Amino acid sequence: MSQPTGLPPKPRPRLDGPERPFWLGLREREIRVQRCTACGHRRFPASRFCPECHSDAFAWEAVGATGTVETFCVFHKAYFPGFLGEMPYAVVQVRLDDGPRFFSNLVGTRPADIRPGQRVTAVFEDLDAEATVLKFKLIEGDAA
Amino acid sequence: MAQARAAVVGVGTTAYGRLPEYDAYDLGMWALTEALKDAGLGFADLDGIIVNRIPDYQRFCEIAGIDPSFVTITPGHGRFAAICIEMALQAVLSGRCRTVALVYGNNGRSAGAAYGGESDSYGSGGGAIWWPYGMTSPGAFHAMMMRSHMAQYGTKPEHLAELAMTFRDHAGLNPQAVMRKPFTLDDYMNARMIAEPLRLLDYCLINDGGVALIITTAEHARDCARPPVHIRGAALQTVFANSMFPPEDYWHGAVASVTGRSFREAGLGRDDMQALMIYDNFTPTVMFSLEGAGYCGRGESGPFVAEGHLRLGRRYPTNTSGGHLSESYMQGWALNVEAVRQLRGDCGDRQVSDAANVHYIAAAPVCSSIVYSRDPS
Ligand SMILES: [Zn+2]
Repeated sequence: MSQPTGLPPKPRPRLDGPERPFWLGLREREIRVQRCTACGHRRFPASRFCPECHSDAFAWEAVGATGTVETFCVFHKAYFPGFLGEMPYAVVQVRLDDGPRFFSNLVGTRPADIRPGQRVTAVFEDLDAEATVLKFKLIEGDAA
Repeated sequence: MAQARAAVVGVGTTAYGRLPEYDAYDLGMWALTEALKDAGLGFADLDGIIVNRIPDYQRFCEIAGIDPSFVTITPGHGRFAAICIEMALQAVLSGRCRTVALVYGNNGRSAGAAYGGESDSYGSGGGAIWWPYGMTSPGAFHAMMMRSHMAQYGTKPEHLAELAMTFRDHAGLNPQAVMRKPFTLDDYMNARMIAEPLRLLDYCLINDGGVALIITTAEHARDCARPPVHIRGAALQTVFANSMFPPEDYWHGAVASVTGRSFREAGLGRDDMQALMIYDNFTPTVMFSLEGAGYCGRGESGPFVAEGHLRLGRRYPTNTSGGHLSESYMQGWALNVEAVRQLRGDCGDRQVSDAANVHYIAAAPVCSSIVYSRDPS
C-alpha cells in the first residue's frame, strides 16, 4: 500500500535485524515466531535465550493466524508524520491463539467499532517489494 | 524497622517551568545547594552521591567540587526515584556511607524531550519494532491499559477527569506549581485527545527543574538544622517478564507486594496515612496504584476517586503539590519532597492538618512504596 503523495513514508520494519525470519515469513503469508526447542515456549520479538528455560536452542516456526483483540488505543497525535493521512488511527494489541502478542492495526474496521475481545485473523500487507507487515481483520460473524 | 534508622534531613527544589538558561547540571546544583542549606550541611559533609537524569556524574561532582567516597548514576526514568532512595537507605543503614545526596536535574522542556515517535525509548528495550503500525509512546501504553480497565470494570473518563481536576485544584494552592488554573469537567472532556481514551489533561507536564534530597542515619539526623523526616519502610518490586505489553493485572500484584512489605517494616497501615503521593505520569497510573495498595477495591478506583477522597480536607489527600499532572513532571522526585514538606508542616495553604505519615507509591515496571513519618517509631 503506497503512501498518499506528499506524505513522508511510515517507519519501515528493520528487515535485517534479529526478527528477519519473521519478516521473511510474512512474505510467504506465515506468522513465524521463535519456538524454544527445549521447553516449547513461543516468543516474539526475538531473543537468543528462552526467558522460560534459558535454552538457546530454537526454531522459527509458523503459528496459527487467529487471535483476539486484548485492548487498543486511538492515536489523535501524529508522532510519525507518515500517519498524517489516516488520523485518527487505532493500534490494537492482539494475542494469537498460539500465544504470542503483537501490536498492530485492524484493516477495514473504524476505530469506533473496535472492542476488546473481538476475534481477528491475520492480514499480510505488502509495503513494497521487500517488506510485508502483519495486520489483522475481524472474523466475520464472530463479533464479541 | 520498628524504630526508623534513616531519615531525610534536607530537601531542595528549583523553580519549575521553562528555564532555558539552565542545563541539567545547573538545575541539579541549584537543588543540591538548597537541600544542603535546608539540612544545615555543607558539600564536604557528603560521602555519597546518587545522580539521576543529569548526563554525567563526573562532571556533576567536578562542578560541585566534591569527592564523595561513593557515587553512581541512574537512568532518567521515573521509577528510579524510589530505586535511588533505596540505594541511599542501603548505603547509610549498612554504615558504608554517612550522608548521601540524591540529585535530579531535568532540562527536558528546554531540550525538547519527546516521549513518542522516532526518539521513543520507553518500555522493554524500546518499541521500534512496532513503529510501522504507529505504536509509540508511554502515553499510548497507558491508554491501552486504561481501555482494558474501562472494558473490565466500567471506569469512565469522568473518573479520570475528577482525578486531574483534584490535582489541579491542589496545584492552585502551591505557588511552585506550573499549572494552577482550575478546569471543569467540560474543559477536561473537550481537551485534545492524544492517545484515546487519554486526553491532554491526563498527561504529565514536561518541564525544566531540579530536586535534591539528603538522607542520613537517624542518629546523624539529630544534628541537622530541621526536624528529620523518617523513612520507616521502603520496598521495590520489578515487573519485567513479558513487559513488552501492558501487565494484565495493572501492576496490582507488585503494588500490593511493595505496600505490604513497606507497611510491615514501618509497623503502620493504610489507616495510619494522612496523605498519599502517587506517581502520576498519566491519570490511569494513579487509579492502578490506589487499587494495588488497597485504598479501594480492585476495579473500584473510578467511583472511589469520583467520591472525592483524594481532595485536601478529605480522607486521603493525594498529590497535594499538584503532582506531575499540575506541579511539574519531576519523575517522582518532587512527590517525595512533598511528602517530607507535609510531614514538616511546611506546606502553607495546602498543608494536611496533623500529618504524621505519608505513603509514596509508584506503579511502573519497577513498583515502589515508601512510608515517611514525622515520628521515628
Ligand atoms: Zn525454553
